Amino acid sequence: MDKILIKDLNKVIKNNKILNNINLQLDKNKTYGFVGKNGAGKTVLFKILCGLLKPTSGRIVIFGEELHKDISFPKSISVILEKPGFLDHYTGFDNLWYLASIKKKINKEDVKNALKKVGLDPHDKKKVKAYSLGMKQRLALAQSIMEKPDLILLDEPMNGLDKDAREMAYNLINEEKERGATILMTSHYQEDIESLCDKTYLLEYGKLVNNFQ
Amino acid sequence: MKTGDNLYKLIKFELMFLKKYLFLFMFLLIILVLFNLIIIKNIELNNNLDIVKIMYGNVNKGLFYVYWIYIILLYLIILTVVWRPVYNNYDMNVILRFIKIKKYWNNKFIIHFIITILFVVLLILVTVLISFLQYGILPINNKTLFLITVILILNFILHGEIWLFIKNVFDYKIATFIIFGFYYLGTRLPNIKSLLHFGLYKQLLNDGYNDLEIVIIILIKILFIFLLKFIISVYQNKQDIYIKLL
Repeated sequence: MDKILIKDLNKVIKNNKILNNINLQLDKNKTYGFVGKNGAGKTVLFKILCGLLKPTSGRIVIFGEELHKDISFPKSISVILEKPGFLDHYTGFDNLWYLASIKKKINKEDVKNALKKVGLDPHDKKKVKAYSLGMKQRLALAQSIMEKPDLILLDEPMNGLDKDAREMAYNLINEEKERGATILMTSHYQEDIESLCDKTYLLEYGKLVNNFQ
Repeated sequence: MKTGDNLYKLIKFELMFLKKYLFLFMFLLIILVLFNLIIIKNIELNNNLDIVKIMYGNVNKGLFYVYWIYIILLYLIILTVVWRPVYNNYDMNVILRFIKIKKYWNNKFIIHFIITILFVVLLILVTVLISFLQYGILPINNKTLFLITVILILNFILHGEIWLFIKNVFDYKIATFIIFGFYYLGTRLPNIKSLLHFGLYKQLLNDGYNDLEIVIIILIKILFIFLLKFIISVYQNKQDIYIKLL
């Protein structure tokens, strides 16, 4: 099945209802935007979709497989959530190569290509601890596309990026969509959402408001 | 992904993570060596005395009391590192690539066990080597040294699991407090017959053991280790992975 289904999803954390009865159907090969104030539940929704948080109630089916029943995590997923933390004492390439070596879906050349795509030098010997926030964000973007995942979750992917880098990120996201990926993203910038997303949802106090204008 | 391959990759990740703290661990090791030097210098050794038995069987006496607090602190640091919460993007992407969460937790436990074994072996090695350098005598017969090492490993693993269980259900501060509480009680009630306390291997330290008793003690401890591991795993599998929330 080529859809992501979210049915009657609720999440309660420490007696706070973070997500309130979310129902959603997302098609493959589309980019979806999620907007809302801080604390509206966007990041928690993304963490639930990738399997790191469990729903208090409700079901999530990702491309035909139910999360926490058939699978622990979506089989082909990459995420940018929270701060772009890395192994600080290693180069950007080393960081990505370790991740790539877990599934062995891609080789070193693919990792280098992903780095080049985001404007980072794959042969750079600089450790990640010496990277600026913008460089770390580029590295996170490279990590999110390198294995050509079916589902990409991007929580504030433009954070720390300058104008040129944002343009690069726009191209990257559009390329991934053309490739066939389903992309869910949040951004505080209205223009990011308008330019990149096929459909946008507003989250208010954990409730979903369809077709945000 | 095969289980062995999975474990190897997680161990590699832990080692890559630990590189950042290499200097801290070297510093802690130096303090451990200094502790051993001070204690061994202050012990009157004669051929009948056994340095490992003294160092690891005299928790409630003066300098040994402080030494054991230091050892417990070291082990708590190790536990905190091994069972650190997943809180940055990289950690999350590592976990997501392991696909099956049960296997991930199992491998975490194996890493916990391996690190505990290495930790206890390191403690014993430091003591044996320093006493050898100081007095030129190898301090213990092999069988007793081996048994003390095994029982210390099992005790540390048991304490580590209790710490983990309390940390998961409540908080790491409460867990740490309770572990030190156990230690304090252990020093105040040296004859307590508990699985956690090494009163149970006092006989061993006094060379008064018989093999059957020791085997039974070891088997009971192993049984409890696996029982606790099972309980913790069931709990962990039902909880959110991303622990550091809100």
